[in-house]
Amino acid sequence: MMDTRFKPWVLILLFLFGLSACTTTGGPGPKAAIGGIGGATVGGLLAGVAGGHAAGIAAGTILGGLLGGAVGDRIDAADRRQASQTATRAFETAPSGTSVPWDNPDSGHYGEVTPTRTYQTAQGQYCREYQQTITIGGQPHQSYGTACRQPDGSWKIVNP
Amino acid sequence: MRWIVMLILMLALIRIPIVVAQQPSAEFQKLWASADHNQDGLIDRVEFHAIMTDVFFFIDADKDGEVALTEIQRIYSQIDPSKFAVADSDRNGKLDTHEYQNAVSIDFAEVDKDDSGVITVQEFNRIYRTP
Repeated sequence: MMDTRFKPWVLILLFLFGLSACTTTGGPGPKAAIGGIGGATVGGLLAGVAGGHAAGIAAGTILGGLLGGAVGDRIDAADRRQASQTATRAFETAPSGTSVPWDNPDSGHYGEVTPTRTYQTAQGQYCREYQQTITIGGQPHQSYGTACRQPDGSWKIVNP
Repeated sequence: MRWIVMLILMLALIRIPIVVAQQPSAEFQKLWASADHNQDGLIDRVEFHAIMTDVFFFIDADKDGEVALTEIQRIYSQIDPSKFAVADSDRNGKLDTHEYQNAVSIDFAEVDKDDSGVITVQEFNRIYRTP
């Protein structure tokens, strides 16, 4: 005859098994990363980059010098972020004379950054002269400056 | 009575390593602070894309405007190459900024386990690891 007495250790095993199943679900599950590079990779990249060069990914490093004066007061945080990221992209990858645009449909503001000349200082630092246009309310605002690449990989505006 | 004690002991043994693993390192906290622009203690999609854009330019070692699998492996060797291949929609062996941002946008959803639209410290810490 089957023993129907309650066995607590069975309950413990079932509980542990269930808990273990919950905590080890590291896979994508129902939110599968189709087309993504994987959450673990994102975490690994962030850890790797932060571990070696935390200052290099401090977003907005160039922001202070890039957007000053009246223009800086009239654009919002999203505009600033786009302008900053676009400038970094332009400085890093765009050949001189090539414009890299940004556009924020939420604010209606847009702009572009164009590196115009690249040179190396006596200390070996790479610098790029640039032109920037930010259009606010249909009115373009132009500025010029020089950005230099820092040892940590960030760009700093040296004479906005 | 004995099984209740056993249950409590088992739970204690399981919980201790989980709690220890969730203690963010100083490096993690610095990264979190640099990503959390509005200082609300959460990473939203805009903030996530901003920091991942910065990561893109760091990964792109040869500064050609695209990241190759080998460039990612230099930072994180455990990347699944098949996922890279799926993200590489034009099959040129590299991710341009568009392909990369599309991929990490999908990854945001994977990290955001509770579908809240923002990443919490706990969710972020779950994926954060030293290569």
